[in-house]
Amino acid sequence: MKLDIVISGVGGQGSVLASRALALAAMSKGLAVRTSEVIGMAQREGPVTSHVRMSDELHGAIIPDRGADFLLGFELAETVRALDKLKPGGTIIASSSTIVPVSVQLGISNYNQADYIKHLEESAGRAVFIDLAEISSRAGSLKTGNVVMLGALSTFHELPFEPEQLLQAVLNSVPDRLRDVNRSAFELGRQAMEVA
Amino acid sequence: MSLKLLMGNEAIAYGAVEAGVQVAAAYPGTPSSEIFSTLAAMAREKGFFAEWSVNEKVALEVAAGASYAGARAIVTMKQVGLNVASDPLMSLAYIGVKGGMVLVVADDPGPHSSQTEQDTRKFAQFAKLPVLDPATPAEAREMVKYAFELSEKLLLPVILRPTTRTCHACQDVEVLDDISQPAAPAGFVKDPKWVIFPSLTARKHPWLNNQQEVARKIFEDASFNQLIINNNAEVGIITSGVSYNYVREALELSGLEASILKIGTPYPLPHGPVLELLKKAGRILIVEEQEPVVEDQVIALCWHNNLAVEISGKHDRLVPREGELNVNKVKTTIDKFFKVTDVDAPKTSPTPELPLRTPILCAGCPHRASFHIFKEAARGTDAVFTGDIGCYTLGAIPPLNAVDTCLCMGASITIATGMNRVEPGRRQIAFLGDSTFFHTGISGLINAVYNRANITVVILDNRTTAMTGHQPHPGLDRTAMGPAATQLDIARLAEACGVEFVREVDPYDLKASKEAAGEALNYPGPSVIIMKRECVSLVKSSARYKINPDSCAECGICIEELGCPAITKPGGSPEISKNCYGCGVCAQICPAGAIEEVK
Repeated sequence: MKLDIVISGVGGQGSVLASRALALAAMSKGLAVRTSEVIGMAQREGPVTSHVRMSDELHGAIIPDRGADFLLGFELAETVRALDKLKPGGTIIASSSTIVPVSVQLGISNYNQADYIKHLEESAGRAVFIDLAEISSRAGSLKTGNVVMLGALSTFHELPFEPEQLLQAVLNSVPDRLRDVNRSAFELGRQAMEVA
Repeated sequence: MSLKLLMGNEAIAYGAVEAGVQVAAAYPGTPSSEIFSTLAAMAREKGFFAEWSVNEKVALEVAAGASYAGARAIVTMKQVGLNVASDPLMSLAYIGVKGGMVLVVADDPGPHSSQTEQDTRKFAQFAKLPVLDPATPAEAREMVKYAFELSEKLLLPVILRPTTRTCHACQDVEVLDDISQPAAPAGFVKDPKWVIFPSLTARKHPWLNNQQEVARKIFEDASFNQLIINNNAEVGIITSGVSYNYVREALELSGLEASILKIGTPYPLPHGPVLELLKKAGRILIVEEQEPVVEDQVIALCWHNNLAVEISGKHDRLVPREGELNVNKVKTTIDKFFKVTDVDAPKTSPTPELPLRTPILCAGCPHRASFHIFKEAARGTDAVFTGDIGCYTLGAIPPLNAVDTCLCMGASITIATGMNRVEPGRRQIAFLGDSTFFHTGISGLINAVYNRANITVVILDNRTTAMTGHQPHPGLDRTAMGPAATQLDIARLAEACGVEFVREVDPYDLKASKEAAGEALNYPGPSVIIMKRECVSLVKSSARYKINPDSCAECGICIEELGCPAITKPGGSPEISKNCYGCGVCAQICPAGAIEEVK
């Protein structure tokens, strides 16, 4: 089997933890894994893209263009920016919440929320929008948007592991005192897919 | 053995520990920094010594000293850091080493966060040292262990050269559970061979040149070079490091067949596997990032052996010489080589315009305040703001636009000095960070005083080495392994360098800072202002501000002067978001007094 997932967002949104959790869950099933990020300057409010790959045998860590099965977008515009990675007919789970960069405030560029949603709907086999900010806030912490996303992803049958295994990987990656809030976030993410 | 999800940098650290490393030294630099921080975290438990050195030259010399005393030593840096360390490295090749010494230099093709795209494999050729090029994190771990043994066999430092796509890529890697303690080092044995003199150099040079051949012979059997013969194919692809991954996947995607020679030891390139491939393939494509290091050696080998082989790669422009490679670029190259046209990509609707999202200074960053302060103090003059390497390089981004030059570590002070020679009537203001000051700023400052440059030096002391991940430096109270014995005071250092005007201010206090800045700019002689306020990552936010919509004049000055990511306009009028750190700087500049602290 092979599964390629691209995660796109803004620095500081927790995409690295999300990609590692996915890789750990796949490893627990005996699969070969690769993740790839560009970290460093990107954390300073810049775009961050993580690639997660799982298969029986793997070479490179970068997913080819039009090769990703899933595109997880933690931020709306960044989801569009990563779109050429998605395979024809692929699935997008995107946050409807936005982080508008300073350049827009300064009038140097524009942020067209409605256009981005429309474009994503047209470009994917299936596009689902969930409000990560609202849901993570309900879970108890705005910092759990990444885990809400993983919860949403866990409802898809293409994953080679059980939702519980993905949740375990998340819980093993966070301090004990944050386990409950992350468990909530995961569960709310799953529930969000029922109504999406 | 245990299976762990490790990034390449972590895998390299594990490999070094498994090889019994006894001394580790480094200066931070993306994409290498995590190698050392992983080592530092294990140092106490595993019983070895690890230090963040003040710069890469120092780190390399520290490792060399350890090696002279018979210990296995590792030093890590990014590719431009090697430029700083190049002086000891070039001489060390002649002197040789005793305990195995591994130099890990992380290249950054792209570049993602570097001033150059230089290829360290070429540097290795120049330095006359063998270099290993890992394709995966797991291979990087194996190579470290191999490198230590190779170093002790050759009596030379060995370079391990991963790139970003190995350093920051994660993989399931097997690591050892039980690691035996290394034997006690033999200690330094006095001998004239450790003292470089021109006569020694002249005697060692033929030895050094011969060691290239010794290394090449050892590499003939290295498992890192793999020849995969495809009997259905008439062509061959030779590839180095991470490019191997792209070649494998590109061939699968295109459905094309080729024999592949994966090279993990790009210099000195072993001849055997290449000649073996050339028996099967009359046409060769060489796929590597950056310089034609493997390609040139293959061309030379063919010429020496009178082999009429068609070789494609950099020299016929099939493979780009700039930027990093990926599966798609390599597929395009391979399709061209096979003279195959790719199926057109399916038409998609045009992408809507996307917002420009560059990295910027964090909300509350003291550097934002510092740049604002000096822009105000220099308003009406044609002052030049020379910049340096760190988070504050982001001062160049709109709306701050406060960096006029940036070259390399420490150059802010020295470029300002050079400019001041040519335009002594103009103000040159150099900006650099606390860690950068210790790295190479001090010598520039001493030079400015000694050679009488009338410049202002602004040391942005945010109490950390921020951009690379908050590593400590001599201005702080801790080292890689625990508390520091002493904490160096930058103001006193500046005074000791002979600067007569030294002031320390808090950039969050705009009034006091602007006064000090004005005095510094008018001071007849070199002046130093230390803008001292912790990085926002170090201290939790304890305040928040809000804009009173009734008082707000919507002048937009808060946004246009500061460009703080926490000031947005979701409904058309400026608002302060939950990302506010509470620095209070915007409240101090609002002409309508509309910004107040949330109580």
